[in-house]
Amino acid sequence: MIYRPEEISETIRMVEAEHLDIRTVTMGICMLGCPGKDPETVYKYIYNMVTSNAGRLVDCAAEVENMYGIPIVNKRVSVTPMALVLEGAPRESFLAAAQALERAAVECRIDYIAGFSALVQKGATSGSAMLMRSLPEVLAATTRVCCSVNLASSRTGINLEATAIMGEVMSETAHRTKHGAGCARLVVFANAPEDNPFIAGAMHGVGEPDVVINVGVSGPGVVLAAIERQKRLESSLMDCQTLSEIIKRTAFKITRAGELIGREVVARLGPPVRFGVLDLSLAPTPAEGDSVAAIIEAMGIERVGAHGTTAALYLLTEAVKKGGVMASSSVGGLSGAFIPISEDAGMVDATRLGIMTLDKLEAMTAICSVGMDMVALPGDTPPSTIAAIIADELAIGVINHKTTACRLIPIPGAKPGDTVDLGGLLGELIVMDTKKCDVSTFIARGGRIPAPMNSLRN
Amino acid sequence: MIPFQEVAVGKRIVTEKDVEGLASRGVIEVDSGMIVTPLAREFAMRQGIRLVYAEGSVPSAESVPGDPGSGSRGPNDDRLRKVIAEEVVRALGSSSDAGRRFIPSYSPLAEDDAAQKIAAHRAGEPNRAIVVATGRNQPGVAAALTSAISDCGTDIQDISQTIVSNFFSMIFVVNLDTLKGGMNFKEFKASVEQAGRGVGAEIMVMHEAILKAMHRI
Repeated sequence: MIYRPEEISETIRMVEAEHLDIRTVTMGICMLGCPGKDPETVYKYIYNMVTSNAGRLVDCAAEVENMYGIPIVNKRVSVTPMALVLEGAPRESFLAAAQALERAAVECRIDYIAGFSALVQKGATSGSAMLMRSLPEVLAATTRVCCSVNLASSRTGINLEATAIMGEVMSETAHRTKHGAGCARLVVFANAPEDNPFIAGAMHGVGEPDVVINVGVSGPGVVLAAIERQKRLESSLMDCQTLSEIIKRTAFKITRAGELIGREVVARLGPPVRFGVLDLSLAPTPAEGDSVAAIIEAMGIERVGAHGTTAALYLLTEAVKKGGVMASSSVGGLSGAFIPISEDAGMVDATRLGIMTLDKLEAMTAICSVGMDMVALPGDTPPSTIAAIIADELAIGVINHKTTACRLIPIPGAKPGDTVDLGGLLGELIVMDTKKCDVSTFIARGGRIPAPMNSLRN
Repeated sequence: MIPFQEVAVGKRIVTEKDVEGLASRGVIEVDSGMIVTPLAREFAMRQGIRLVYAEGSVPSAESVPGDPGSGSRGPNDDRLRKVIAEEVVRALGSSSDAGRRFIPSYSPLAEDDAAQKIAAHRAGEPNRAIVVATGRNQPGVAAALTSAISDCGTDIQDISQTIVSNFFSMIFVVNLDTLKGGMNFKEFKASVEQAGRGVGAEIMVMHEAILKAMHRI
């Protein structure tokens, strides 16, 4: 036979039992070139650009899904950071833009559309400042629009002034939406990638072509199953190289499947759509077995968050990247392992038991692909404390030359240890405890923490 | 009109001096009996004069500024001109809608060649499906599945079968090149799945490309 029956059954098992899927096919659309700044022109332009380019996205993805038997879980759209498109526009135009994105997403049958974003790592233009201030209103008025702000980079340092503003924005957004759920669509970044396909932080960078398809491949379940299978086969304890090798091989296969599917979607959409990048991120879902925490636990850490978790995460993330890079020359985006608290059943359990704490999570973000993701905070957390949590996270990214991000959800009325279910993909949130110390003076200093140096790295 | 220079092989050399005289409405039609010098081409370009190469004519040794992607020999502005013309017509046609008229069409560079693009993308790739059937063994299972496959006009290239006690597992490699006219992959899949249901077999159909991508380098 051309393929060994084991190869065929392995593929089927990966899809049927181990949740191998293409997590997202995200179309990035360039929005530069809006002919006017008035709300009506902005609305029409954005609505037409999204619907004319992404109108067939869902159907094309469904065709490809059917052909290869691998599900494409999410079809989404990202656009040029709106602050660039709307610079110089009145406040009403920002709201019109958000509404246009929302309506276009409904029209295209897309659950999330991202790119209501600003890049302020060194300083905010008046348009960017207006965008940041409009976020609570935008998030309250929409259900599909995702917003992000890049607050820091390794070349510029941390814009602490904007960080302080975002602390206030998150707090206000939480109070304007039910259970603070609006904050699940708001991310702040250090070193934001311009080709990331994963919502909520996706955007279509200015260095990108007109229309691209970026693919997010996932499959923590497949990696977990591969490790478990090998454990049953080996009589002695597997060493770390062997573990790494198993993860690499699995990541290789997942990535190859992702690239094939991404390119097929591009071919079906036709020009000017181009293939962008593959983002190899292990993205967990609340589904049983589809968990990054479970992989870490399979390596021999009793619970994620225990001592040794950071080392295990390092082993995992590096092996995923190496396997993926071998499989494709178009790797980009975030690429690593996502560790959202609420979307991963193992993370939820460990948080409930008090093993996964904010401090341990922060340490893990020095290695994972993105950062503090879906972290619920008590409702009475002051904006300055939220800004300080963000600033810590940005510092890790800036100094390590990696992407870090924060998606924090202060839940009004909630106390540490409370459980809030946001439903669907967002999952169950356990409110984490924060330190009750006053840091408002530091945050109020504003200005910019200067960029780090590249030498003397100890 | 300035006369052509005659050369020994009978080809005419078009030099910089000839360009203006030859141009008619901004275009020079270059036929197979003409050789245009590089300097003449450059001069023409500066003057906005377009050189149109007739069938069989070959531009002289140096490369012509053009579209390397399409392999076109001349400056490839025919397509661009067509797009611009269409855009102008569209803009004038919908001038009542101020916001919309600046919107580029669905895809400015698109031609109706999506099918070709997909074909080119797949060129050299095998077009085969893998059909996996599992279930409780009973008389007629293999017959039902093979006839469903052949009813679609497709050809079984390989079969592997295992029977463990009462259960069978069958893998078919099916060539899709001969798929019946008008039938696509989706319909093929549906009809095999339906045949499987008739005999209590679980059916999984996937395109071979995914296996190749995952298991072959």
